[in-house]
Amino acid sequence: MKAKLSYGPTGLNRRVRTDGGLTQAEAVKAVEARLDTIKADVLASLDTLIEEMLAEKPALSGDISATCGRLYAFASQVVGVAGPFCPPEVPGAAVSLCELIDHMGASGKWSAGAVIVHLDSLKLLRSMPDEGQKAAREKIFSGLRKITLQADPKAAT
Amino acid sequence: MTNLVAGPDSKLNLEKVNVLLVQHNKAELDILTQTMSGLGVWSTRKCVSAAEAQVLASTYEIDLMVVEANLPETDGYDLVRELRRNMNSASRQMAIIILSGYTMKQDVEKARDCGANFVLTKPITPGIMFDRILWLAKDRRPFVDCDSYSGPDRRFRKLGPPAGMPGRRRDDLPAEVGEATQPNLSQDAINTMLKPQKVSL
Repeated sequence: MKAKLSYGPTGLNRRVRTDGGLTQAEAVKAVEARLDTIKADVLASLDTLIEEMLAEKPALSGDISATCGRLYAFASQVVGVAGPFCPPEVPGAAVSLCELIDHMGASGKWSAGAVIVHLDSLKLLRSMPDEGQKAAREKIFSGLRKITLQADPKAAT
Repeated sequence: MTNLVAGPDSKLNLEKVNVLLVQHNKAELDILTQTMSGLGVWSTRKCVSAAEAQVLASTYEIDLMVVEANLPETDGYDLVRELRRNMNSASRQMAIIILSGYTMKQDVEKARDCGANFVLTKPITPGIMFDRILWLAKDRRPFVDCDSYSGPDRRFRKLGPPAGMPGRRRDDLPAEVGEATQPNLSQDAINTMLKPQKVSL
């Protein structure tokens, strides 16, 4: 099949208007107001997600790569759920766990300890108040980053 | 569509845009729904699986789909590839944004090669979503269909294949810069352009 190119406008090109719309600042304000209405429910579901991740801890002593596959899926959800409502270290810890699992999968060197530290830190970070604990949160997060970077197979070469 | 210009005063009216959200986590789906409503979208359809998304995209004319990369069973990348290949679907040329929790280089390549317009790393902020939709609304890349790919043209710079090779297009840029067609600027002219100027307010 020869490559065929269509130059017509997409539905989005056709239907977007600028008259009567919102500027970025207005849209951000409107989104934040709407997100406030679901904050309590979303945070409750974040806590459930973290509990489900902690419940996987015993399975790390069995098939660790399969368990990490499930934890990766949970962590990816934590990033999206925590992002709008929590200090950046909470989604950051979940991203760090995803990265750690990727590194361990690439190198084939699995460490249950490194995963457990991430899970416990995630729980701790979530339990800390949003205000007044910035330095402590940053310290925990920087410790997680060190663990993850050490697992990077590229860093070992 | 009226002129869309990027900038702090750019306005975006999404009232007529049909959006499909595909996300298996309910809380994340709620966040996306509220984000779209806040951005001014009136028509949002939601689903939690790739199978449902296939049905909705075939039934309705969707303009923009926002899809999670890590869907259970069929993942977001495979879903996009299938939707782009479905010649009977009215939505196959829709704009598509893939959301990913942690994005490695190979994930970005996968998103590009499955036919998505963008991959966005979570957490999504409303400002970023606004900017990406504005960019997509202005994007006029052609839609490509060939044996191995269906989706927006992956070539942002129109360099095309090397000269002499088949497949070059009339508007492809030449590989060589070539001789200057106008005289060079004098050093004085360059200095004047770079000199800090007082601005009268």
